[in-house]
Amino acid sequence: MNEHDPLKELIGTLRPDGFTADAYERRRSADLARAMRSPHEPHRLWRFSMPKRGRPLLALAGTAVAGLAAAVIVVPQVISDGSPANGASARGAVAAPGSTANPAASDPAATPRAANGRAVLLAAAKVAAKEPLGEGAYWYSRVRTSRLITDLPVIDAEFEALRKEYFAKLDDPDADRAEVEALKKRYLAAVAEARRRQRDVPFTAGLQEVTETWRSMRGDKDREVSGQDVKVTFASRADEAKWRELGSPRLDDGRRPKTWEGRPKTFPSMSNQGLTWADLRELPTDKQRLKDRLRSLYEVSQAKAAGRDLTRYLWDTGADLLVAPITPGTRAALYRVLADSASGLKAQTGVQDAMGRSGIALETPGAKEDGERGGEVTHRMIFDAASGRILQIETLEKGVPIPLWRQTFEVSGYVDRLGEVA
Amino acid sequence: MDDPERRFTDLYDRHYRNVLAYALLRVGPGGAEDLASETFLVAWRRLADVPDPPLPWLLGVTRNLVRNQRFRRSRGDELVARLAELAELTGFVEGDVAERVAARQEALAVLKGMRDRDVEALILSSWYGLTPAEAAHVVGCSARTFSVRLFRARRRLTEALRPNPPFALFREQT
Repeated sequence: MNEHDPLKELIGTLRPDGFTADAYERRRSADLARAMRSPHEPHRLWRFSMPKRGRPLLALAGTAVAGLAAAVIVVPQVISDGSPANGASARGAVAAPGSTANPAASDPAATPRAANGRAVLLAAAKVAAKEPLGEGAYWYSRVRTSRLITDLPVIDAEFEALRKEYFAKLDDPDADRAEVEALKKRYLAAVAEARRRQRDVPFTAGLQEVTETWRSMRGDKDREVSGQDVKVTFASRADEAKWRELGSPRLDDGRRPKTWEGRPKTFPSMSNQGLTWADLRELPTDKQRLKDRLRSLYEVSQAKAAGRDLTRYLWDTGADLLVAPITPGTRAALYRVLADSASGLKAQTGVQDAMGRSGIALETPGAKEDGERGGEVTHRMIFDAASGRILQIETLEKGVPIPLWRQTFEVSGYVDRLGEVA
Repeated sequence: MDDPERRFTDLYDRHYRNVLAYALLRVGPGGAEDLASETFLVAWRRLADVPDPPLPWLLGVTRNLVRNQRFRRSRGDELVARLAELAELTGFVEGDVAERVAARQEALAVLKGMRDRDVEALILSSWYGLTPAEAAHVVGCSARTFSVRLFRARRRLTEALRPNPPFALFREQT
């Protein structure tokens, strides 16, 4: 069919764009919240991607690290002590030998200073390579996620009742015509009001929550406890005051602690669904071989299908892998790969993450993608200079004091049992 | 980042309106929004299964949900009647631009009397630009069968428009 197909255009006029756009505005936040409160289980793909070559971790546990495996609590690779004050369930973080003390404490006068991105990455590679190889039945992580609130809840009970009444009348062939017309007027007025409220969120605030994950390294069940320590934070008192003026609408989407158990839940990197948790420990530790592997993963990635270039892919996938249970050798190689593509990267030393931990930040400007809200954005990762571990990953928008999206890796490391924290 | 929640949000933002438009053809306007929500709930649960492009898959999920009787089909099954009702509702929401109203009336007039599956074929290719193979996936038939339906529908439409058009395509307002 060519561009100016009159039949197509004619049928196209029947597409209910006004109706669907209106429903989209109204339903979006409730629909997203509802879906995300339930688990997602991509097990179908695993049928295809579970590698035959087996479970290298068991082999490893039996040989090289037998001594470590004998310990009751297996050397937890703690990024940093995760401030027990935050911990709904943390029963005291165990600081492992080799983990860093809180660097912020020893460096109170830290001020951000520009640095050379490539040099910073090469230095990170050096320290990362010296970290001990961890081992354990589960990879534990405690992550605080924060996102900018861009919608207000607009679907109140009154609105829903009106909508139901009106649509029921529409579906009723015997309904009185005048009554339907009157309802329609009321309904459309309510829609207009709801849309107006939804469009302008007159304050800046973020929604935070903590998720703890136990990822089984031996093919047992994973556990995820999300919706912990849910908090709304306002950019300023003035923002909070504006929220109060609106009658303090609920902003937390009704999120509360939810435990999910099952297996396997996710992929280490959503864009690379050919790469399983089991594959992570086998990733190359040599820069060139890792680069080749990433290039071939890129060819079949969803990132490529979505039109993202290799540089952006390396950044995204690199971040996914840096926070996953990869070996110190792979981590070091990954930093070297990133250093080679670092031309667009800016680096800063003396930066603090949301927990006040001091680290080195790497930044790359983000192209605004279709469907991404906001204007000029920056992707940023902060890592610990002493261990090369990632502390925080975030996307910031120019002029917006709350990050569009942020993950702070409070604690992570290997543990031996479900429910045990590193 | 490739956070699943971001990926899902993106999927929702890009395709919710398309899914709802299709749901509106299958069930009444009340049920359609719930049907679209349900479709995205399935998409979230099976996020790793969602192929690229996702739309044919999503519409296939919508159609299966209706087939599973979880959603009541209202007031008969005639698509054209449902389209007429939708045209009216949309007109109100959009503020009734006269030209669009006239074009819609004309479209409805020529679709009248056509088989539902033929109308659906026209809609899938016109609203969404799906290829015959993609559209066939949605309606659960072979690509060849779908092409035949589409051809038949287009021929009827052309005939209805050509010899003695009931309305001019984009008629002048007097």
